Amino acid sequence: MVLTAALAAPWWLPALDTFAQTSARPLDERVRTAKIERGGLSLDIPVVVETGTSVPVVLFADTSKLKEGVRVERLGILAPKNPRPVAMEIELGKWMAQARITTNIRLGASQSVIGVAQLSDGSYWQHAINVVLTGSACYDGT
Amino acid sequence: MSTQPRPGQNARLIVPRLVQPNEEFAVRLLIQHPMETGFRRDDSGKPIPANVIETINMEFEGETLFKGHVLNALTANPSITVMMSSKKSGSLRANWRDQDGNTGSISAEVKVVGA
Repeated sequence: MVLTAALAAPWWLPALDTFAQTSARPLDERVRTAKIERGGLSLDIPVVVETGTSVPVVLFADTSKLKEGVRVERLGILAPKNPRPVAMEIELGKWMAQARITTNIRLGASQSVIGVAQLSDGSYWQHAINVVLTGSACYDGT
Repeated sequence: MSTQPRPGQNARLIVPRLVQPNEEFAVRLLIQHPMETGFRRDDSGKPIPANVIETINMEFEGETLFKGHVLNALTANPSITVMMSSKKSGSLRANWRDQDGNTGSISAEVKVVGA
Protein backbone atom coordinates (compact mmCIF):
# COMPACT_ATOMS: atom_id res chain seq x y z
CA MET A 1 0.00 0.00 0.00
CA VAL A 2 2.96 2.27 0.60
CA LEU A 3 4.41 1.00 -2.63
CA THR A 4 1.45 1.87 -4.79
CA ALA A 5 1.45 5.34 -3.29
CA ALA A 6 5.14 5.81 -4.03
CA LEU A 7 5.12 4.52 -7.59
CA ALA A 8 2.66 6.90 -9.18
CA ALA A 9 4.42 10.22 -8.46
CA PRO A 10 2.66 10.72 -5.15
CA TRP A 11 0.99 14.03 -4.55
CA TRP A 12 2.85 14.62 -1.31
CA LEU A 13 6.33 14.39 -2.87
CA PRO A 14 6.83 18.19 -2.95
CA ALA A 15 6.59 18.26 0.79
CA LEU A 16 9.28 15.65 1.22
CA ASP A 17 11.54 17.44 -1.24
CA THR A 18 11.31 20.72 0.60
CA PHE A 19 12.32 19.23 3.86
CA ALA A 20 14.83 16.82 2.37
CA GLN A 21 14.52 14.55 5.35
CA THR A 22 14.23 11.37 3.34
CA SER A 23 15.89 10.51 0.08
CA ALA A 24 12.84 10.86 -2.11
CA ARG A 25 13.24 9.95 -5.77
CA PRO A 26 13.79 12.80 -8.22
CA LEU A 27 10.58 14.68 -8.69
CA ASP A 28 8.79 14.39 -11.98
CA GLU A 29 7.80 17.49 -13.94
CA ARG A 30 4.28 17.57 -12.63
CA VAL A 31 5.26 18.01 -9.03
CA ARG A 32 8.46 19.93 -9.68
CA THR A 33 6.48 22.94 -10.86
CA ALA A 34 3.96 22.74 -8.03
CA LYS A 35 3.86 25.80 -5.86
CA ILE A 36 4.08 25.10 -2.18
CA GLU A 37 3.11 27.51 0.54
CA ARG A 38 1.72 27.52 4.02
CA GLY A 39 -1.65 28.83 2.85
CA GLY A 40 -4.41 28.25 5.34
CA LEU A 41 -3.02 25.03 6.68
CA SER A 42 -2.65 24.49 10.37
CA LEU A 43 -1.23 21.42 12.05
CA ASP A 44 -2.07 21.03 15.68
CA ILE A 45 0.22 18.52 17.38
CA PRO A 46 2.01 18.55 20.72
CA VAL A 47 5.59 19.79 20.53
CA VAL A 48 6.87 17.40 23.18
CA VAL A 49 5.33 13.96 23.69
CA GLU A 50 6.28 11.27 26.13
CA THR A 51 5.55 8.32 23.87
CA GLY A 52 4.90 8.02 20.18
CA THR A 53 2.25 5.36 20.73
CA SER A 54 -0.56 7.84 20.36
CA VAL A 55 -0.02 11.45 19.39
CA PRO A 56 -3.15 13.54 18.92
CA VAL A 57 -3.12 15.56 15.73
CA VAL A 58 -5.55 17.97 14.10
CA LEU A 59 -4.93 18.96 10.50
CA PHE A 60 -7.05 21.83 9.27
CA ALA A 61 -7.02 23.65 5.93
CA ASP A 62 -8.79 26.97 6.15
CA THR A 63 -10.54 27.44 2.82
CA SER A 64 -12.37 30.66 3.69
CA LYS A 65 -9.89 32.88 1.80
CA LEU A 66 -9.91 30.74 -1.31
CA LYS A 67 -11.59 31.59 -4.59
CA GLU A 68 -15.05 30.20 -5.22
CA GLY A 69 -14.94 26.63 -6.42
CA VAL A 70 -11.47 25.80 -5.16
CA ARG A 71 -11.57 23.05 -2.61
CA VAL A 72 -9.22 20.81 -0.71
CA GLU A 73 -8.98 17.46 -2.41
CA ARG A 74 -6.63 15.63 -0.10
CA LEU A 75 -5.12 15.95 3.31
CA GLY A 76 -2.05 14.07 4.35
CA ILE A 77 0.26 13.72 7.29
CA LEU A 78 3.89 12.78 6.72
CA ALA A 79 6.23 11.51 9.37
CA PRO A 80 9.52 11.26 7.44
CA LYS A 81 11.39 9.34 10.12
CA ASN A 82 8.73 6.70 10.57
CA PRO A 83 9.46 3.34 8.89
CA ARG A 84 6.50 4.17 6.66
CA PRO A 85 6.79 7.91 6.07
CA VAL A 86 3.27 8.49 4.85
CA ALA A 87 1.38 8.50 8.11
CA MET A 88 -2.01 8.97 6.56
CA GLU A 89 -3.66 10.22 3.43
CA ILE A 90 -7.31 11.08 3.12
CA GLU A 91 -9.37 12.12 0.14
CA LEU A 92 -12.17 14.52 0.95
CA GLY A 93 -15.63 14.21 -0.51
CA LYS A 94 -18.26 16.84 -1.05
CA TRP A 95 -20.02 16.30 2.25
CA MET A 96 -17.12 17.57 4.28
CA ALA A 97 -18.05 20.85 5.92
CA GLN A 98 -14.44 21.71 6.71
CA ALA A 99 -11.14 20.33 5.52
CA ARG A 100 -10.31 19.08 8.98
CA ILE A 101 -9.26 15.71 10.33
CA THR A 102 -8.72 14.86 13.94
CA THR A 103 -6.97 11.63 14.79
CA ASN A 104 -4.12 10.01 16.67
CA ILE A 105 -0.93 8.87 15.01
CA ARG A 106 2.15 6.87 15.95
CA LEU A 107 5.59 8.37 15.77
CA GLY A 108 8.81 6.37 15.65
CA ALA A 109 11.24 9.17 16.46
CA SER A 110 11.56 12.88 17.09
CA GLN A 111 10.94 14.51 13.77
CA SER A 112 9.25 17.22 11.78
CA VAL A 113 5.69 16.08 11.23
CA ILE A 114 4.42 17.56 7.98
CA GLY A 115 0.83 18.28 7.13
CA VAL A 116 0.02 18.57 3.44
CA ALA A 117 -3.09 19.64 1.58
CA GLN A 118 -3.67 19.30 -2.12
CA LEU A 119 -6.04 21.87 -3.57
CA SER A 120 -8.20 21.44 -6.64
CA ASP A 121 -6.38 24.31 -8.41
CA GLY A 122 -3.17 22.29 -8.35
CA SER A 123 -1.41 24.06 -5.52
CA TYR A 124 -0.16 22.52 -2.31
CA TRP A 125 -0.16 23.76 1.21
CA GLN A 126 2.13 22.42 3.81
CA HIS A 127 3.14 23.07 7.33
CA ALA A 128 5.61 21.26 9.56
CA ILE A 129 5.93 21.03 13.31
CA ASN A 130 8.94 19.60 15.05
CA VAL A 131 7.84 17.01 17.58
CA VAL A 132 10.22 15.83 20.27
CA LEU A 133 9.69 12.31 21.50
CA THR A 134 11.01 10.61 24.57
CA GLY A 135 9.89 7.10 23.50
CA SER A 136 9.10 5.34 20.23
CA ALA A 137 6.02 3.51 18.97
CA CYS A 138 7.61 1.61 16.13
CA TYR A 139 10.35 -0.40 17.80
CA ASP A 140 10.66 -2.15 21.09
CA GLY A 141 12.92 -0.39 23.50
CA THR A 142 15.16 -3.46 23.80
CA MET B 1 -7.66 -17.27 20.67
CA SER B 2 -10.41 -18.46 18.36
CA THR B 3 -13.03 -16.97 20.63
CA GLN B 4 -11.50 -13.55 20.08
CA PRO B 5 -13.42 -11.45 17.60
CA ARG B 6 -11.62 -10.77 14.35
CA PRO B 7 -9.96 -7.35 14.37
CA GLY B 8 -12.04 -4.56 13.00
CA GLN B 9 -15.43 -6.08 13.82
CA ASN B 10 -16.15 -3.82 16.73
CA ALA B 11 -16.71 -0.18 15.89
CA ARG B 12 -18.61 2.92 16.76
CA LEU B 13 -19.83 5.77 14.61
CA ILE B 14 -20.77 8.75 16.69
CA VAL B 15 -22.97 11.54 15.39
CA PRO B 16 -25.12 14.10 17.24
CA ARG B 17 -28.73 13.08 17.91
CA LEU B 18 -30.21 16.02 16.05
CA VAL B 19 -28.65 18.78 13.96
CA GLN B 20 -29.85 21.98 12.32
CA PRO B 21 -29.84 22.20 8.51
CA ASN B 22 -26.32 23.05 7.30
CA GLU B 23 -24.97 22.97 10.82
CA GLU B 24 -21.43 21.71 11.02
CA PHE B 25 -21.13 18.71 13.25
CA ALA B 26 -18.46 16.19 14.11
CA VAL B 27 -18.61 12.62 12.88
CA ARG B 28 -16.42 10.31 14.89
CA LEU B 29 -15.43 6.84 13.76
CA LEU B 30 -13.78 4.45 16.20
CA ILE B 31 -12.64 0.99 15.18
CA GLN B 32 -11.34 -1.69 17.50
CA HIS B 33 -8.26 -2.89 15.68
CA PRO B 34 -4.69 -3.64 16.81
CA MET B 35 -3.13 -1.84 13.78
CA GLU B 36 -0.14 -4.15 14.03
CA THR B 37 2.84 -2.43 12.40
CA GLY B 38 4.97 -5.49 11.67
CA PHE B 39 7.91 -4.05 13.60
CA ARG B 40 7.05 -5.69 16.89
CA ARG B 41 8.14 -9.15 18.02
CA ASP B 42 6.31 -11.63 20.19
CA ASP B 43 7.70 -13.32 23.33
CA SER B 44 9.59 -15.96 21.32
CA GLY B 45 11.24 -13.31 19.14
CA LYS B 46 9.21 -13.99 16.02
CA PRO B 47 8.08 -10.85 14.21
CA ILE B 48 4.36 -10.21 14.50
CA PRO B 49 3.03 -9.84 10.95
CA ALA B 50 1.79 -6.42 9.97
CA ASN B 51 -1.92 -5.91 9.82
CA VAL B 52 -3.16 -2.37 9.55
CA ILE B 53 -6.37 -1.00 8.14
CA GLU B 54 -5.70 -0.24 4.49
CA THR B 55 -8.76 1.71 3.49
CA ILE B 56 -11.65 3.42 5.18
CA ASN B 57 -14.54 4.71 3.10
CA MET B 58 -17.17 6.87 4.69
CA GLU B 59 -20.29 7.67 2.70
CA PHE B 60 -23.34 9.78 3.31
CA GLU B 61 -26.34 8.85 1.16
CA GLY B 62 -24.09 6.93 -1.18
CA GLU B 63 -21.67 9.80 -1.77
CA THR B 64 -18.18 10.00 -0.38
CA LEU B 65 -17.57 11.89 2.83
CA PHE B 66 -13.95 10.81 2.94
CA LYS B 67 -11.72 8.03 1.71
CA GLY B 68 -8.65 7.02 3.62
CA HIS B 69 -6.10 5.38 1.32
CA VAL B 70 -3.03 5.21 3.50
CA LEU B 71 -3.48 4.87 7.20
CA ASN B 72 -0.06 3.51 8.20
CA ALA B 73 0.54 5.49 11.31
CA LEU B 74 -2.88 5.44 12.89
CA THR B 75 -2.77 4.17 16.44
CA ALA B 76 -4.24 0.93 17.67
CA ASN B 77 -8.01 1.31 17.91
CA PRO B 78 -7.95 4.26 15.56
CA SER B 79 -10.36 7.13 15.74
CA ILE B 80 -10.99 9.64 12.97
CA THR B 81 -13.11 12.74 13.46
CA VAL B 82 -14.28 14.87 10.54
CA MET B 83 -16.74 17.72 10.19
CA MET B 84 -19.74 17.44 7.93
CA SER B 85 -22.98 19.29 7.27
CA SER B 86 -26.17 18.47 5.45
CA LYS B 87 -29.52 19.98 4.58
CA LYS B 88 -31.32 16.67 4.72
CA SER B 89 -31.43 13.67 6.98
CA GLY B 90 -29.71 10.60 5.71
CA SER B 91 -27.64 7.60 6.59
CA LEU B 92 -23.94 7.60 7.12
CA ARG B 93 -22.00 4.45 6.40
CA ALA B 94 -18.38 3.50 6.90
CA ASN B 95 -16.56 0.51 5.42
CA TRP B 96 -13.02 -0.59 6.05
CA ARG B 97 -10.65 -3.36 5.14
CA ASP B 98 -7.37 -4.43 6.71
CA GLN B 99 -4.34 -6.18 5.23
CA ASP B 100 -5.58 -9.60 6.35
CA GLY B 101 -8.75 -9.06 4.38
CA ASN B 102 -10.97 -8.52 7.40
CA THR B 103 -13.70 -6.10 6.53
CA GLY B 104 -16.13 -4.21 8.67
CA SER B 105 -18.83 -1.65 8.34
CA ILE B 106 -21.04 0.47 10.49
CA SER B 107 -23.81 2.94 9.81
CA ALA B 108 -25.56 5.73 11.65
CA GLU B 109 -28.53 7.97 10.94
CA VAL B 110 -28.10 11.72 10.71
CA LYS B 111 -31.33 13.48 11.69
CA VAL B 112 -31.74 17.05 10.50
CA VAL B 113 -34.45 19.22 12.05
CA GLY B 114 -37.42 19.51 9.71
CA ALA B 115 -35.99 17.38 6.93
